[in-house]
Amino acid sequence: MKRRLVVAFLVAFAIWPAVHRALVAVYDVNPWKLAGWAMYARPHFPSRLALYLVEDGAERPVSGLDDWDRVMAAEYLERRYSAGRLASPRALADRLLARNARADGVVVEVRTRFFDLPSATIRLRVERESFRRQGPR
Amino acid sequence: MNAASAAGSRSVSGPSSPARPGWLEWFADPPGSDFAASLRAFRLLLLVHASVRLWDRYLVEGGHPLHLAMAAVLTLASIAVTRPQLARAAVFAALWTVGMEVIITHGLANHVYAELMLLGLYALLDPDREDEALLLVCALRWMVALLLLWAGLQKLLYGTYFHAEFLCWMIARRPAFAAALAWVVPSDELARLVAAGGTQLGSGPYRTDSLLLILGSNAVWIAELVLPVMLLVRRSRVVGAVLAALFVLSIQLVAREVMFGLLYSQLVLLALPGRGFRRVAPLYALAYAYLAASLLGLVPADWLMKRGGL
Repeated sequence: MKRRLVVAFLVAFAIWPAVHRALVAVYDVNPWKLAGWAMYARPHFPSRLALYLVEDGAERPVSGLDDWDRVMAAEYLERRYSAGRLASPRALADRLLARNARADGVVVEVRTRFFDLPSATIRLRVERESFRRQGPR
Repeated sequence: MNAASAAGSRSVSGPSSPARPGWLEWFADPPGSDFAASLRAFRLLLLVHASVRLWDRYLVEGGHPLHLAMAAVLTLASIAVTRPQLARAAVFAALWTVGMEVIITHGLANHVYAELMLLGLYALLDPDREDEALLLVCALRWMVALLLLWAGLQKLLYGTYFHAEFLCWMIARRPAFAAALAWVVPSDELARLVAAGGTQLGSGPYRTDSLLLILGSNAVWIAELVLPVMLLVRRSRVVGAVLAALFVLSIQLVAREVMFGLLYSQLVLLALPGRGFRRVAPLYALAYAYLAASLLGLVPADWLMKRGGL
């Protein structure tokens, strides 16, 4: 039994970095984290957030974030740094919608620097995710 | 070989032993080898490692009471593991503590995951039982060979070492890399890379004309692919283990990732046959004593450890 457990562990240990590599490619998971053994293989940068409320079809930047909004945003960015797009800003968007009754939706814009290998320079990737109000205002 | 001598040459026995050694035992020592002493030495150093790391976290990274509790448990476990009757309980306590740390903390360094896996193996397999000790030493050696192999493969797959792009970026990002690699990069190019900074949009290109740096960069991933094979082949295992330990320690010293470097190089040296690791273990005990003294402010540690993320 113990031998089987050891074999299962080693097989998982041997396969996981390949899965990790795929997660990095698809979800921008941090190559330095989560035991993929890809430290010092590629630069990885933290992201920054820009938040917009959608009102009557137009976007306006969110103003007046309270302390709890900032905590949720910081927690999201921390998770995003490790887990990439596997981390969802849904909870942050829901909170902003709950605090802004006139808004129909929230747009979360994630700005992340990345290492562009062909040019060997630092470039910017901007990703936007929209959240529509689901329940009553 | 007669039946008696065949029985005498068997290195495994007991209910969990295979009837015939499989691929897991490719990393086994010659029969009669006393590797249990090495396994016990590494068990103690593993717990000391976890303990020093948690004290460092508590004292340097903010003083959270939970880290204090974890550091205290791991210190007690490090003491208890030296008593044979308490050793298993100490390993389980350390496994529980590091497991809790992994569960409650985002974005931990990879060596913490390695620590957890190593503690898991020690919780599963008792180095004081002959049959389990063989499984344990083989599992640990497979683990480090796979770790080295994947570290090289990842660099190959990401493609940032062929023209030394990653090392150029590290020169820009960390003064320690710039200082360590200054002798292989022309001074004007070094100044350009350092000025680029490594974080500004549009900065770069992080490339070099230095043939030495390009060759060195490619030597890194090639070494990480070759060394596991040297570890696997019994005839080249000792040379492979020493080369791999020197390779790991030199890179981690330049990167100032001393905690990972210490753990990684110990794992590599576990490939030394018999009591080989036991013989070098006092050097690691001294290294941890130095780190503990640095936490008390008695000796400097800036030259060993970077603070803060990239």
